[in-house]
Amino acid sequence: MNLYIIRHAIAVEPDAPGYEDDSQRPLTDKGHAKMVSITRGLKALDVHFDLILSSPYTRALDTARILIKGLGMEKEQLVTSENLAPMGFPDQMIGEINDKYLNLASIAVVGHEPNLSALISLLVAGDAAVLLGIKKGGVCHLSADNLLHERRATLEWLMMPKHLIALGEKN
Amino acid sequence: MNLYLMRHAIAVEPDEFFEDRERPLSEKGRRRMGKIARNLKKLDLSFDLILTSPYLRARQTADLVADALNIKPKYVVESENLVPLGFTNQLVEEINARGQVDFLLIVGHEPFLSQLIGMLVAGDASLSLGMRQGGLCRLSMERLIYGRCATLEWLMTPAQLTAI
Repeated sequence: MNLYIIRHAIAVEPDAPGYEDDSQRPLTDKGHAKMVSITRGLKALDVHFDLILSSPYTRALDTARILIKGLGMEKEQLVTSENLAPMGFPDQMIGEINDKYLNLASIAVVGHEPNLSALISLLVAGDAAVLLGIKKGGVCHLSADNLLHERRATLEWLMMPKHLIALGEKN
Repeated sequence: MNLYLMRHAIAVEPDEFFEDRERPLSEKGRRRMGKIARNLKKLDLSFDLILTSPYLRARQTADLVADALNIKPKYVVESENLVPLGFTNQLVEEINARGQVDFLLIVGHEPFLSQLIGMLVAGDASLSLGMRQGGLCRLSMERLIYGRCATLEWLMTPAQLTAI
């Protein structure tokens, strides 16, 4: 299985007027534009997903919808999961994938830090915490025979948003 | 400190004519590595020092990078600690003994590089990483120690470095 871990793009600031509810903060125009270019970069790398699992928070869903559109996917291929919300638990996310989606070859998850780093750590290092610099709009590719967290996934690559944007603009 | 780790590019297959230490890059390896080296400029990369395994395939990889980034030959230094059976803790000691280097590139072999990255980002040398031939990883840290001290900033495959 290929698992792509994607951090939401740049959203409006937490204290911006009208957006007091953290779960409702949308992407900024800049965040949106960058995410479109990042998606183009992923396309240039021939990345594709059978399913996108997203945090239900607006900034994550906005990010996931840009991916759905840019990669020519169907709306039904986007599913939200509370396990990806800031209060969610990465080990339960792994359980959810194992329970429901083990038959899929390629899944993207869109969520928040530090949960995503914790998820990657569980999958590639078991109990050890991996220090990762996954930026907003950054993407990490893991591969594994399965996602049991005592097994070891391979960290195939981790790309910064600016590198994906450069790829997207070139292609 | 920024520590960049690169695996040597594709070398000729082992055969009776070449000692393992003397295997050069293949024609394809040399061509691809040349492209990757030129693309490092687009990533705004520059190195104060390149430490390389003395094995020919690593040395040639390091020289291609130095050439593309206009790094003087005296800043490309061979280290026996980077040979395939070298000890990652001794390499860390060597780097620290050299005094301050802000942007250091090391060019070496697998699984040595993955073991070193795993130790520095997770305190665990057994991490599985996709360090392919010509791949490049960037770590950042306040102070280099042999243990969990670094953030994995990015890890790019040769295909990505070629395409960018």
